[in-house]
Amino acid sequence: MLSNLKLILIGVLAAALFAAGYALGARKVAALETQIESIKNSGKEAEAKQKLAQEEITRTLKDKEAAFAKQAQQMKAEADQKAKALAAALAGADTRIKSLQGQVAGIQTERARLEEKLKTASVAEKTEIQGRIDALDKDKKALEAKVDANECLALAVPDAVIGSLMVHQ
Amino acid sequence: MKRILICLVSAASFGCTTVAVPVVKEALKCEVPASMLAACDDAAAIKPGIAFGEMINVSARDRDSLRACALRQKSLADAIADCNSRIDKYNADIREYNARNAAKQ
Repeated sequence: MLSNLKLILIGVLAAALFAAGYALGARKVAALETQIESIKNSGKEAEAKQKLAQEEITRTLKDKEAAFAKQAQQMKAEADQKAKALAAALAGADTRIKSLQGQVAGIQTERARLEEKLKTASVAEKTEIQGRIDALDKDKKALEAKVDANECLALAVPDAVIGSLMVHQ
Repeated sequence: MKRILICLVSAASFGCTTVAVPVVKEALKCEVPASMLAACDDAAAIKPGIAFGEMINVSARDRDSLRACALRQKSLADAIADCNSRIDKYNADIREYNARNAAKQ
């Protein structure tokens, strides 16, 4: 009986000590809790700011990626179109040469006719005819230069000129 | 006596909790799209005995490649500049925030 009473008393004393200690500790902890709350809030706010900034960066980069993809696609389409036009222009060299040579032949025929006319022309006519012949000669020279340029496309670039640009892959 | 102590410690343990304080873990990332990081193409190969016509073709291909590369480089530079500007803005916000907090204490 006495033993049980002693046990109860010890229990009550221990509980009282615990409660007193807890109350004492809680007063000091209250200030810490306020600080911790403040730290928590700061942390949360900083995290939110960082999250927002990261989201903005990610969104901007996605927009820029989309704009870049669009521009690159447009550029590729233009390049493909130009490549086709260039291929057609290069393939059409022989046709152009024939056409230009036809024009040269026409000029030669006209020139021969004017030279013939020149033989029987008056002094005043001679000046006018000579002027036309000179103009035809000029046109012929220009056409021949175009023929040469088109014929040149099929010629090999001299090694001495291209050597330094060679890229071996 | 031992049993009482164990009971008291157990009861006191219920009052112990951990406080999770959010931590800002990593710096901002500027992950530019892989398509902007691709390397520029090499110059087109020039074969020995190449004709002038084909040389024009090679030149055209190189020009297209250079244009594409310039666009990629410009887009990459824009993206990085934008990233840097946003990171600067974020850092300025944080500095201002820290200053405000320091003033409170």
